[in-house]
Amino acid sequence: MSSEPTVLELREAVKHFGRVTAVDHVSFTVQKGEVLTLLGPSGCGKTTTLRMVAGFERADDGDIEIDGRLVSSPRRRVHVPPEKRGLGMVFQSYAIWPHMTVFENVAYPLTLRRLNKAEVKQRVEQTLDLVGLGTLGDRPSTLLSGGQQQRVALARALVYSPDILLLDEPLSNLDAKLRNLMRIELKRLQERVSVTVLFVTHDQIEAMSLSTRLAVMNRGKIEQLGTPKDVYETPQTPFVEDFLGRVVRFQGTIVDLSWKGMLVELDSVGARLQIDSEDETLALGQRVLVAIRPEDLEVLRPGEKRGTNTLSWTVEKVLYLGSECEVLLRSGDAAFTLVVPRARATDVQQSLDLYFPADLLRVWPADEAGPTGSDPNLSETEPTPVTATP
Amino acid sequence: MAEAVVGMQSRVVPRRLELGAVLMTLLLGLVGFVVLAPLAMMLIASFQLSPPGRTPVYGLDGWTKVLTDPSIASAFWNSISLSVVREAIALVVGVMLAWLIARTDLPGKSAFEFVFWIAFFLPPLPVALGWILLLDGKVGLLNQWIAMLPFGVESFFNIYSFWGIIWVHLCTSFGVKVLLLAPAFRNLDASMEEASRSCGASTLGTLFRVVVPLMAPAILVSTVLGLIRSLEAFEIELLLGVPAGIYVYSTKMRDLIQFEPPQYAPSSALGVAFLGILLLLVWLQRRYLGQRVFRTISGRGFSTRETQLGSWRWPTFSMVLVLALLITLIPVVFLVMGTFMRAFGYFNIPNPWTMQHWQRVLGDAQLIRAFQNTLIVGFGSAAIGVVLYGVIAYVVVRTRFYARGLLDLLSWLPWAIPGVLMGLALLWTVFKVPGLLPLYGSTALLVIALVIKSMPLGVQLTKSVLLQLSEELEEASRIAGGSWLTTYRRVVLPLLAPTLVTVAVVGFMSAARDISTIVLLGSNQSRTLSLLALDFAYGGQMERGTVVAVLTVAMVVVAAFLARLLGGKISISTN
Amino acid sequence: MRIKAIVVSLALLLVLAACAKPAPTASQPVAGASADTPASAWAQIVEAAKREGQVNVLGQGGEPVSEALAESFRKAYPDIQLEYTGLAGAQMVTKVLNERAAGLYTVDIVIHGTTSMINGLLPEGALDPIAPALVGPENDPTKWRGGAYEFADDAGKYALLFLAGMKIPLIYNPNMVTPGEITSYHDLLDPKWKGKIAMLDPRVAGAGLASATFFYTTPELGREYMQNLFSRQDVTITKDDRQLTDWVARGQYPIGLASNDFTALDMRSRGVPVESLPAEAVKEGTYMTAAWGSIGLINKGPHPNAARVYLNWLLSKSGQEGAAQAAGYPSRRLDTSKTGLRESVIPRPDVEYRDLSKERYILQQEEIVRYMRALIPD
Repeated sequence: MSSEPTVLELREAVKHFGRVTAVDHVSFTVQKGEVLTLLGPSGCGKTTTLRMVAGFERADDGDIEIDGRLVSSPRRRVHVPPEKRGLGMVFQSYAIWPHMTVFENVAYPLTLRRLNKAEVKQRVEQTLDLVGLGTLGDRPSTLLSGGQQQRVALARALVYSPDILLLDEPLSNLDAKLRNLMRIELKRLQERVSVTVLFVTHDQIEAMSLSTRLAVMNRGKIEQLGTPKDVYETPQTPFVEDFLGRVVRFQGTIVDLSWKGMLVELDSVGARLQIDSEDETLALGQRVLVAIRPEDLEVLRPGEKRGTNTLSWTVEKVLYLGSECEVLLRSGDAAFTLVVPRARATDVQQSLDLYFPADLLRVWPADEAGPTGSDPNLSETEPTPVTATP
Repeated sequence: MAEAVVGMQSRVVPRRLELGAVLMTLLLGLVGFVVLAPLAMMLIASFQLSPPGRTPVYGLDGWTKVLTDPSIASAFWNSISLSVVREAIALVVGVMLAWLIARTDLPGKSAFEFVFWIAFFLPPLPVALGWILLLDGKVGLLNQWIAMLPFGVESFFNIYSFWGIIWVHLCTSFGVKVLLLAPAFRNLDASMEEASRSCGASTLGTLFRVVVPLMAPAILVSTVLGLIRSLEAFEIELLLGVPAGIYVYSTKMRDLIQFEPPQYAPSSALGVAFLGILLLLVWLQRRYLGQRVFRTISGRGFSTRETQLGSWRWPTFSMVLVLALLITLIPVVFLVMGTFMRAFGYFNIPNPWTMQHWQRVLGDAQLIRAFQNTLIVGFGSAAIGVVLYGVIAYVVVRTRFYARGLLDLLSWLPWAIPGVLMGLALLWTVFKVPGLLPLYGSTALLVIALVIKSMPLGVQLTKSVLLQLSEELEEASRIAGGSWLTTYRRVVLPLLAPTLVTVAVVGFMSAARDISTIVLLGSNQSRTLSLLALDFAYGGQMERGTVVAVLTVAMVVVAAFLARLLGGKISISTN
Repeated sequence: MRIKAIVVSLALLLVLAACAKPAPTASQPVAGASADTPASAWAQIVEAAKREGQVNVLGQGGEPVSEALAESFRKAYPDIQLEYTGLAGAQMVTKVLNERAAGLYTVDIVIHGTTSMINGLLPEGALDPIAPALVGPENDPTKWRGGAYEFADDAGKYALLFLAGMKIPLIYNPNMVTPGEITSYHDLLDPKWKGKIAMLDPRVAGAGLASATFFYTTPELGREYMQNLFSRQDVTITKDDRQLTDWVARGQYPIGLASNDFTALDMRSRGVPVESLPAEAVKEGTYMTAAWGSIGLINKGPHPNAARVYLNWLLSKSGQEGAAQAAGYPSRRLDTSKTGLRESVIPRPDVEYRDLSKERYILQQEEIVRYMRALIPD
């Protein structure tokens, strides 16, 4: 564990909405400089937890401490309002104020803190540069694109150097391409500013690529908390396993870079995948991890051809589950389970061709947050097919 | 430090008494009082068989009459049928107009929007007077021209009829609908339309299958608002309906009071009965909208590409132009013409034109005073109203105040009491409730009466815009360090400002036009323009009344123009 | 933002400034009032009135009336502020009675039709006997009709009548009706007039009810006539006098009953085709009415001396002439000029008319209204 001080601590936080317990005795700590992600399906309580940290939801029980200061404790009748918690937050809708310009939006927190005009100007411009919007200060905020709005939201949250940055599904409203880009940028930003981040998402890939540690939540409880590697490799509950297991990952090396993207040669499979990525930090020859969600894969009919990004897999096992079937596929050292709807089951024969859409493949450096390179992902472990949870 | 978790139930932690909760409870008390006191008076009066001021005799005669008298039943029926028909037409046409203005490439659409903005504020009475000149069964100009045509029929139009009433009302209804719906239309994401088009749906098909369903909440709100407004309508029904024997519930109430002896009991009972219907409508609205969120403005980017009308562009333009002129320019022009007639409505007398009415009115010393009073009363009620309605709307929409549902309901109730009885009810309130007597005869009481009267519309307008604002816009301010007050001041108010301006102008115009609410409450000193016009009518000087009507219209146009300059609309501010 | 705040605060200040009127201070009438008050006593009363500084009068609405009853007094007595409020009868009664029930006494004098006086104010004890207040140089009953003041109430104390006019039987459209055609009310029962007659609502206090009272109480007409008229002739009812006049002038309903024919007169002067049938033309004659011309002295009025001064002024020749002009009916004071008034409304000195303003008839109104409501259901 890091020896950095704890900036955020939740102890047995509880929140009810009527008869539903949205947050059920959630506890965790966040160290300075780390990115803690709350990952889970919708309704699992992650957003509520975030909002409790922010102060928009009042906890029904449990304590919340920020920087050692108790900000929420129903038992001790403490509830510090959001404006006094010194946090930064980016909302899912970005919440950029339409009646102000970009500059005014970002300057708002500073004007509240009574800084003089010159200082405000300096810091706002600095922060806008940081997020890459240096020239847009005067633009009315209604004329911004989605990605630009997100950056403004980020700038606004960071301009007063908060201790903790709260991010509520910040990428889910962006299109796929932008999402990739922003994910990379976020990471860079976080490292540069070294702000502590509490991140909420339902996207495993986002979580795995961005987090220092992640907490998988389900029905108000944390099922597992650990580094992405730990959680991914040693899931402790069936839910975690199921939720995270649904990712197809390969290790590989970048063999070509162009303006179109990159070509990665996969280790175990020996094939090559074209990936539309604009991540300029990746260099030729770099070791990377490539991931895609199984539902993004296209099952090709026998004889159907697509050209690049088609991989052939051997069907090892087929498990019929009524309306769908699970197919264990293997290619070289790589193996994973794919769920195929019953209608397509007839296409499953000895082998199956899968098409990997170039724009839906994610790639990030192999030695970053995420399972480290020495692990050739799945070749040793038999992936467990989804069966009825005991 | 782990706490012992075993056996822990979630305890209800008692809330500290917060300033916010205390203030909101005070607000609830205030609103409850000003709304429920007159209502209570009305309820009591419905059982009181002896005239007010005498020793009370109680009985059920008032209610018996209401429940058994066929003329009252038919008045109710008229109210309902007039409202429903009017709303149906206004809705269909209004949706089309709003869509055309907000989402297509209709030429001159911002000009049209301004025209409909004016139409929204035009008092219906002058409009009716103008149309009488055109559509009167016997001497209406339009009828005369039609009779001159080869196939012409006599008395083709008759404004003193069911459809006459509906037509005059539509002139203002269209403006209301456009004003309420256009901004909501505008905030729709164009990509939703485009998705429909790319599937092959036609422009109209997209309108009805995609856009309208998405707008359903806004449409529903404006429909219920419109229904309620038309149910309590009074002036037009008085002018056009009574001569034709068409009574609606509000004119019936007035009728009853004018009998000898005045029938206060059935009149009040009628009002209470209407309250029941109003509550039903409100309940319906809440049930179907409930807590449903229809946030369309979240500070997130959206594209508003226009739909091309193609070959329909200019035909549509002409149709909208004709409609816009019909509901604004034409009646006003004829009204102005009417003020120069020696005898209103008589074209065939010797020397039918004269300036004398204008001369008499403009030279009248009372006019200046009436103007002053109108301004004082109007501004006073507009200013107080805006503040009050804004706070109520905010509490109802945004806070978790335990009684906000009740507050919401209370804000609707003044609509149940038409001006006719509201004035009486307030009079009784001022006399019966100890401590209020000093208010009697003061301008302050007039202002209070008018603030109450405009509460339903003002609160609803503000609410409908607040509902479209995402809470996250306020939360972003809070987390950035802004207190509740700062957030309200720097985020909510600026965004609400255009709507608040509109609400203020609506309040002003409503106050300036009001007669029945304030006629009993005011003194000679506080006579407004509308009461002056009434005085003229009493003296058999209808012509001077029309001059005052024209002056009122002029005031409206100026006010609407100013409001527009200040950015008025019913939407959030997007500079 | 700041501008808004300033505007809001200004508005609030305005409103607060316009708040409650000062409570009226009670004042005592100067002693020694009687019918032949010597000049010095009267001067004292006038002085006291000026000290009171104000007098509150409730009267009929409409500019001509307020002109006659208020403006002229203001010119005569600039030191006494006259507050004149014009209200319809029912509203006037409501206001007065409600105020009194709450312990507020703001009104000094009421000038209205006798229905409101007799049915509204009198039973509630709101009126004081007026005679003690009739002091002053103008007080001279001998100058009045019959040599004495006439009162609407049987007791002869409370509601002083000062106007007396003849009611026009009907108005008609000269293009569609020849004057000689109608010589009796019974002529209206002719089938040719079916659907061609309009009337001011006889169930509502005012000219309509007065006409109904006339029919009801005239032996030659009575209930039978009313039954025939309303059930057979398809009479159209309106509550608005202007509308009635318009209907007649435009030929929609060539005959208009129970009209306040002042509107008709006014319209006629502008060239509109409408005429009034004089009372002599009709066999059954017509009735006398005080229109709105009766005065009541409100009990516990706040300015008793100013009230006396006002009464004195109103009953003077000039006051009466002004009122008569405004009403279009002659005053009961005999030495007032009748120029400008129509011949047809001036009572013939030799004819006996029934004065429907009197209490006897007023008290019958409820019964008549009930009868009418049965005849003409809503």
